[in-house]
Amino acid sequence: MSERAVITFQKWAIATVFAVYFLIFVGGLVRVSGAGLGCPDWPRCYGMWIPPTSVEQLPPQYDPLTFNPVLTWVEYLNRLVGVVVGLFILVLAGLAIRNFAKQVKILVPSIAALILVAFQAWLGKIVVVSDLHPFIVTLHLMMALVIVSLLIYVLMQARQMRNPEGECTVESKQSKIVLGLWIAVMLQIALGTQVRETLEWLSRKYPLLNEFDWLEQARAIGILHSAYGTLLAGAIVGIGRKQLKEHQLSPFLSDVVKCSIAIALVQLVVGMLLVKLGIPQTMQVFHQWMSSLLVGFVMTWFLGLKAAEKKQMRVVQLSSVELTA
Amino acid sequence: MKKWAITAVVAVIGLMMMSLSVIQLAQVPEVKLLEPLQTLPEFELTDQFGRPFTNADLKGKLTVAEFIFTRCPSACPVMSRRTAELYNLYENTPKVQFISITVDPDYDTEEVLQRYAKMHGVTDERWKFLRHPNLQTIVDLCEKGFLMAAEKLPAGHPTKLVVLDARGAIRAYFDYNDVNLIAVMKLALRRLAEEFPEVKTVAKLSGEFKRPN
Repeated sequence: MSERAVITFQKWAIATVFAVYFLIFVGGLVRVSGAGLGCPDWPRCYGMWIPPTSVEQLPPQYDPLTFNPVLTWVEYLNRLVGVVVGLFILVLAGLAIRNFAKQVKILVPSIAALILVAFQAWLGKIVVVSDLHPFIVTLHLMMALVIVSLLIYVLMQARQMRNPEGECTVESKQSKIVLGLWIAVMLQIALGTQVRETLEWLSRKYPLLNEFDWLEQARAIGILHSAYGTLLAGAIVGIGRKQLKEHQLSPFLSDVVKCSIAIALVQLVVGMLLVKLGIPQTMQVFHQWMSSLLVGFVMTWFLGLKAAEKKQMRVVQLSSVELTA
Repeated sequence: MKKWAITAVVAVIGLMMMSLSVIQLAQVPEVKLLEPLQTLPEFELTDQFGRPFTNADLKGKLTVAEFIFTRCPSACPVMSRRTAELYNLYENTPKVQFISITVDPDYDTEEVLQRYAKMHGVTDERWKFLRHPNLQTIVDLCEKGFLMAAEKLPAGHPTKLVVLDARGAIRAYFDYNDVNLIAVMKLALRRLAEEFPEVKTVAKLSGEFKRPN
C-alpha cells in the first residue's frame, strides 16, 4: 500500500479522534446542564427531526411547562454530533477495509470501533428511555472512552507504519506499567461517575439542601475519589518523570508524557476546587472532559512505549543474529 | 511555547466558554426574595379532617400557599398539578409544607377536600387543604394577609403561589403558569433554607442515606 494511503488514513484517524473528543465534551455538557431529558423521545425530539425552538412550535401532546429550548438543543446537539462522529468512524472503517485488509491490528479495531459506536448510539436511546438511569449513563461515558482508546490504537498503528524507527530506547516492561496507569485512570473515572451519581441522587432527594450539604452527605465516596486521585496523579507524575529522565523518548512521546503529567496535576487541583467551591457546573464539565483527555494521552503513551519496546527487541534479535553469524 | 500547545489551550478555553454560556442560558432566572415585612395576621382555619390550622402551624416550616376551589375549571387543576409536583419533590423534607385554601367553602366540605387531596396523591401531613365556613374570613385573609385581590369569588381567586418563611412572613409570589415555576420555587426554598437552617436539619438527620439504585 502506498505511503499516501497511510497518510490519508492517519489524518482521518486524527480528525476522528478530535471529533470524538468534541462529542465527549458535548456529552458532559448534556449531563451537567441537566439536558439529558431535553428531548423526551429518541431519535426524534418532541416528535420532530428539527426540534422546536419556542413553546409555540411544541406539538400539542407535550406539556409546555416542561419545555426548555436550551436544554432541548443541547441534547439534540449531542445527537447531531454523534451522527457526524458515526459517519467519521464509518469512513475510517471503510478506509481500513479498502487499504489495510491485511493489517489485522488496524482492520479489527477500526471495525470494532464502528460496531461500538453503533452500540453507543443505541445506548444513548436507552439513556433517554430509562429516564437517565445512573448505571446506563455511566456505561454511556465508559463506552465513549473505550471507543476513543480504540481509535487511538488504530492511529498509533498507522503512525508506526510511517515511523518504523520507533519512539525511543526503553527497556521492556515500561509499557506494562503505563497500561496499568491507563486501567487505573479508567477506574478513577468510574469512581468519579459514582460521586456524580450520588450528588445527583441527593439533589433529587433533598432539593432543600445546598451543594455543600450534598458533598457532606456524599463524603465517603468523595474521600475515596480524592485519595485515589491523589495517589494516581502522584503515580503518573512519578512514572512519567522517571521515564523522561532515564529513557531517551522521541520528541512526540515525551510531549505525550508531559501532557499526561500536566493533565493529571490540573485534575488534582480542579478536583480540590470543585469541593471547595461547591461543584460549579462549568468546572464539572471541565473536570470530566480533562479526565477523558487523560485516558487518551495515557493510551498514546502506552502504545508509544510498546512500539519502542518491540523495535528494541527486533534490534536485540538482529544483533544476536549478527553475533552468531 | 509550541504552536500546537497554544492551539490546544485556546481550544479548551473556547469550549469552556461555550459550556459556561450554555449552562447560564439553561439556568432559570435569578430569584429575588421579598423583605420579610408582612407576616400573616392571626387566622384559624381547619384542614380537610376538621383539625385546626393556625399561624402557629407556619412556624419553623417553609410554606407554599395557594387559593383554590375544587370545582374550578381553569387555573386550579394546573395549580394543584404543579403543587403536587412540588409535594412529591419534597417528599423527604417534612419542613416544607403546602396549603391550599378553598374559596368555595359551601361546596368544598371536608369530604370534598379529602377526595381532592386523595386525587392529588396526598398521603401525609405536608399538604393540607384548608377551609373556613365564613367566606368573608377567607377574603380578609387573602386581601389583608396575603395582599392579593379576591373579588367575585370563587372564580376570581388569585392564582399566585405564595411562599412563606419559617416565621410566617411572605417572601415570594410565583405565577402558577410560569414555565420555570418548579425551578424558581426550588431556588427560592433553598435560599430560605439558608436563612432558616432549622428547616433542613430534619432532612439531614433523617439519615436514610441510600446509594442510588
